[in-house]
Amino acid sequence: MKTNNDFSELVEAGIIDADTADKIEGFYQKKADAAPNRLFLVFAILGALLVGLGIILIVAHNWDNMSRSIKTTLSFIPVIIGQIACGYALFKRMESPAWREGSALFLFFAVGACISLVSQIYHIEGNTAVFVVSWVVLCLPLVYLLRSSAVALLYILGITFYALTIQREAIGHWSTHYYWLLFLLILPHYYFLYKNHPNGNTLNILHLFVPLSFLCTWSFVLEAQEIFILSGFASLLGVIYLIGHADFFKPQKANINVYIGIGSVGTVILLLICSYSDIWKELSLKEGVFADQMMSWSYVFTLGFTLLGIFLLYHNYKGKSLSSIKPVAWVFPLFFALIHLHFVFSHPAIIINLLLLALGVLTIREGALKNHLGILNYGLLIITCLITIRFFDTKISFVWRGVIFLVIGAGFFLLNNWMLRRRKNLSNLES
Amino acid sequence: MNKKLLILVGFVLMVLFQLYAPAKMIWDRENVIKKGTEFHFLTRPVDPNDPFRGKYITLSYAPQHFPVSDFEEWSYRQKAYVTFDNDENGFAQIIGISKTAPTNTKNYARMEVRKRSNKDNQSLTVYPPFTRFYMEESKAYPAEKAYNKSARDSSSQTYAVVSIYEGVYVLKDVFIDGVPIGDVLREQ
Repeated sequence: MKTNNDFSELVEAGIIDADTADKIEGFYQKKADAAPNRLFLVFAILGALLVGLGIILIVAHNWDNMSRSIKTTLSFIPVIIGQIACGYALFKRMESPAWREGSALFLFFAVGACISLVSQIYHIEGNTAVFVVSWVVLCLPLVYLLRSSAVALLYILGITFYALTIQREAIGHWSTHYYWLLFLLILPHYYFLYKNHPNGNTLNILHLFVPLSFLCTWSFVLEAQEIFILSGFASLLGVIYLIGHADFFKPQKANINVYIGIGSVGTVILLLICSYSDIWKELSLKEGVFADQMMSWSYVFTLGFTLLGIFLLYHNYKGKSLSSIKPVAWVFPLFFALIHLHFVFSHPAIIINLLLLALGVLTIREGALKNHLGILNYGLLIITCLITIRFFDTKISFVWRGVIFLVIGAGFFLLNNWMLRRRKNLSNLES
Repeated sequence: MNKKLLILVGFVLMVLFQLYAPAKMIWDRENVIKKGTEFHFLTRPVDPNDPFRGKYITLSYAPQHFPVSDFEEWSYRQKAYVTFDNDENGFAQIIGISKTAPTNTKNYARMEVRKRSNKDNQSLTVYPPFTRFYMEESKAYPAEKAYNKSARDSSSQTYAVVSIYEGVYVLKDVFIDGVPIGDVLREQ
């Protein structure tokens, strides 16, 4: 922060007028005032988190010496204290984020401890997934009444845990589809933060949790054919990536654009997995079977994600040249096409390998053009991963591997040489 | 003013909802304990733990089979009303399974049934679901050891005492040779 002396020096030198100096000073003062508030908020959240977890651990001990009626009465005390604190925060201290988040978080854990204790006292055997989902749903109103983002994060974690565990016990059962509804219930809060606090840290954390939760769970919730799941993943990652690039998302302050990160890294990992020919041998379907499977929910979702991705491609690159489309954005439509035509090619994995290679080279090119070391290294990392897994791929003969490596290596030399010469020419032209 | 009233109503509803859910759990179980009939189920415990609810003993039971005439009309893992009575040794046995709640007795519990078919008969199988008995954390492991000791002695019996009333059940205690497992540990 600038000191008063700095400002008076600038005013004296005639660089800024006194009015501007006052405004700048006021701005920094406001920022400095906000800092202790933030610290107070962090302490309130950490405090509530620790106290809440402490109550749960103490409850988990299961106190044998107390009678059933004492234990049931005691289980309600933290809930009532939490509710009183939340009521106070809601009607008296709504302007204080520390009060809102701290009391909401405390009540969240108190409710969890209460249900745990009752389950314990009566030996209720219900599985952990159902327990967690009842807990987070009972606390969902806190997200909207107290606008608590900490509870919103825990809610997302809770429903993700539910979706990932319930499917093992009840695959194909309608209860797995609760996840969609539970996921929809948190989106208004996400939208509220996006509209009202676009530069807040909590929104950045939600940017990470919301897409990751959906990405982790959607395929588990459906009884799906793996081949569609792969294409569905490619399209969903494409959608996430394109949202990151969309103009409605760009004004966000985020130092790291989380959506672009998840979309890009996820796409590369998916391609690396699919670059093994064994995967395709296992998954490939006969043409007739494939047509039958197109009536499944997993196909409907895959198609939906792909259409949404194409719409975003159109939205983001309307009126721009094809070459301006980012390399990662090309992957999902190509993958979708490959899934439909995979029985035509004898080795779909070769296409995936070429796609990865192209993705790596184009990323390096983008990094070189933008003079951005991060992007350049990311491209190199893609190529390195591809090379490493192919080097250890025992399915390809040594001779073939040797030839491929020689060709790619020579390509690198030529590319490097071309780029250096181009730079030299450019600098010559400039001088 | 309207917004404030809406928030107040929302808050009151949340408070009631958060108190009602655990209170309903308690009320239902207390009702079973008060009015239900006790049955003894032969068991075999082992010791795991639950991150939220602490240590418990997992009880496993021998599955009980019940022949039915309308076998084809049952689906996999369907919920059904299972009626119990005591056998000649004083242990619970199934005397009826139906899709609707029986009207002639209150000794029935809502449980999942599985289908079992072989060349001799077609029957429904019930795995008793009251498999978790929570204990104070320091006692769960000794409880398992106490069981193992009693298991080596063929004359010894371990069983769970369960109250059943109008579809709901409550696991009340686990006994080793007629002594509650908590008392067995205290004696040791």
